[in-house]
Amino acid sequence: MTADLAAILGQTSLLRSVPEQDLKAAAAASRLRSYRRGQVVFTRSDPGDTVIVVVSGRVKVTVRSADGGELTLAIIGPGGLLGELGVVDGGPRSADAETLEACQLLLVPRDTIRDLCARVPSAGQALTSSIAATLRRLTEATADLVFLDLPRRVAKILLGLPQGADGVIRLRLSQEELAHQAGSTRQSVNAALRGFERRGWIDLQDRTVTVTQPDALGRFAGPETL
Amino acid sequence: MTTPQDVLAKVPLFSMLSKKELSRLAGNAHERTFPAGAVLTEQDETGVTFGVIVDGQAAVEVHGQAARTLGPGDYFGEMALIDHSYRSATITAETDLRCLLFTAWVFRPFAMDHPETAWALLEKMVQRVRDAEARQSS
Repeated sequence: MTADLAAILGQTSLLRSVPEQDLKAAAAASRLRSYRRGQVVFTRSDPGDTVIVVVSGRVKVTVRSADGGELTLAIIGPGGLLGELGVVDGGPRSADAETLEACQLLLVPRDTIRDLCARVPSAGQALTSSIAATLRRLTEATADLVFLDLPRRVAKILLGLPQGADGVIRLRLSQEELAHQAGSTRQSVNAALRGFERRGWIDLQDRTVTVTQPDALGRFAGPETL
Repeated sequence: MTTPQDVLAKVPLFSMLSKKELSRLAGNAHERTFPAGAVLTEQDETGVTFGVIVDGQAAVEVHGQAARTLGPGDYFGEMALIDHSYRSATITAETDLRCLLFTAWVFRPFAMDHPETAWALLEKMVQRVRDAEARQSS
């Protein structure tokens, strides 16, 4: 329904300030699609002519090596966008995107977004800010990959997760996915987690990881994570 | 003219919020006016937004049968807000209709922070389940 789609677009931080008429026009050009869990959204080097709004579910953005290694660069949840980079430089997809669970994604033509950002200064500003934030985040992630050992990278990822309503940090990813984020193997990540568990900093149950002592874990991870 | 905030203040769902919270909620919404005759939701189509009516009237139809009328302070779409699934009714604006629309990613964190709002939604759901069960057995 176009009404829905315009509201969805208007509730993204990128298009929040765009006038109603423009949102309606953008909505008319957009498509809402349902995806299963584990479905490919796009592949690196695809031409990429859409910007994607995650309406529900989560999508992981990854790069893969020739021998099957995988590094997760970001996990995008509801309200988040994919494909902003292409709006700026018109280039192909810079990474792979795959759903982590069943998703509803709104696909907006890239040109539509580009035109809006060109015409509505605050949208253009929002695009720039978003890309700047991504660049900052990736700069830090790159430094961590080079300078921190694996256990510290795992600790940092855990501490970076949002707290639940009860103030507790719980991991909503498999250890395999956690390994992709940390740039390592599931076995190494598992060993690191068991180390934390032995020190009483986390609780490992079935398939969940709960951070019980974030302060202690933070002191281990390093001063800048506190 | 009534502000969105004034209208939200009268919705039982938000009756326990402070002025500041109401203002924040109103600010986070996507305000939209639909012309008379516009279809807001269509039964069995996917829908993901939750809406509160600020001004005007809308007709609700379920399986082609008129069900009820919505007016200022009434809300719709709360089911899709939770399960992102198909709309349970068709809602058409009878007059020009001014609404506040919310996506789940805006409304959900708000509901999580205000459990009394989440509980009020639950109460509404329970009422709907009872009504549906009563209709089935009659």
